[in-house]
Amino acid sequence: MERIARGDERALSDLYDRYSRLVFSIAYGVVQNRETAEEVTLDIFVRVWEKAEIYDPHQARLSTWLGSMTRNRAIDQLRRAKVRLQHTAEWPDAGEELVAGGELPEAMAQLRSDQARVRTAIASLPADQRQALALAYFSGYSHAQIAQALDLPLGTVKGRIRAAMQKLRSLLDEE
Amino acid sequence: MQDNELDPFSALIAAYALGALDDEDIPALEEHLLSCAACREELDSYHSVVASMGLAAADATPSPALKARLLERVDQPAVPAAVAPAASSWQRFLDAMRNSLNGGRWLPAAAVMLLLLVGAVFVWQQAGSARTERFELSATDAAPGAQGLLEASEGTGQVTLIVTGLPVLPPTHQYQLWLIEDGSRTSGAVFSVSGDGSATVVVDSPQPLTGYGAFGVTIEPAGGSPGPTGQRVLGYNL
Repeated sequence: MERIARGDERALSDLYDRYSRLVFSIAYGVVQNRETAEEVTLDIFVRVWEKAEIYDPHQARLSTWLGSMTRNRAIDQLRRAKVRLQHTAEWPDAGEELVAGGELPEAMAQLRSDQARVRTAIASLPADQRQALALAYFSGYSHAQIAQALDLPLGTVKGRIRAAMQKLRSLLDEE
Repeated sequence: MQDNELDPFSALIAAYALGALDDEDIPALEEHLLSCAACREELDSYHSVVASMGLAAADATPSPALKARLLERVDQPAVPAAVAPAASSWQRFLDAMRNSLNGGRWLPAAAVMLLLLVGAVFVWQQAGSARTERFELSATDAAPGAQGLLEASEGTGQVTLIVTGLPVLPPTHQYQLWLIEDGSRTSGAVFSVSGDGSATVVVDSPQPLTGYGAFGVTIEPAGGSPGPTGQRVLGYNL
């Protein structure tokens, strides 16, 4: 990232090779459209190129920093376009094959391990909690919107989100 | 952590970090966060959870051509936007549409709708005049003495935020500018101030500033948040 902040294009290219699939996967999960997901992906890497100096490695892993930026940007895109999606992405099962690191296997080992951990944690949640969480995370739905989408009482939705987040936090807190 | 039924805010904090809190629940929680350090810490812990959730997204691969587009884009010198700040985003969509049509692929219905809706918004806005717009942001009690100026340049369409008198934040946090219309908040910039409390920041505004009813600057975890979660330090209301 320091090299990128200094304008090293090769470093940007390396970063893209490592993280473009992650960024695209999150973007696609939100916008459910390849062209738009690619635009978001492009935006994110251009933004990294232009503002690499704001990344603080003491604060967050690169993967989660990029992941947050991508989700925010993608949801922003969704809201600006005011498109109501027919279908929200689902969390994949824990056993589902992770994308192989390809040409950078060692560098990707940490990322793969992190992905496996989070996938397993989410997969361990009850199905109704996973569903509510997906609507909140990928579609940016509020409690009321989730309640409407699933035809459930508001209190039920609030309870599911709270339970899911508390469980996830305790699972991910374990080192 | 035990579910504390006596503290209604604790139940809302996770949802807030996720961006799932309904609009009407937000002000009370934000006010509470101003005075509750324990709740702010809890919010930070949930921010980490949300940040990690993206790692679980189902795998999808972008087209091989995307990398070339990225490298081409960063090779170009910065081009001033046309008349309205919206033009550069509009240009991106035109490019996407052109690429899709040239590739002989059908644009999926959702993308067409996206294009038409965005197109309609941008055409409507470009019909308006592109004067220089200036908005002075006033300080809240959280940062007395701070000042902010939000300005759109007539020539380049670039939107800039200039702030002075803001406290320097620890590395865990940054300031974030919000562009607000009809209750929805779009992030315009995430930034830090230099030692003297000032900053000049290029703002990413999807539409001319006059399209918004209010602006605000809040304190957020470093890197920003999907929605305002921290103390507001500067604000402007139409």
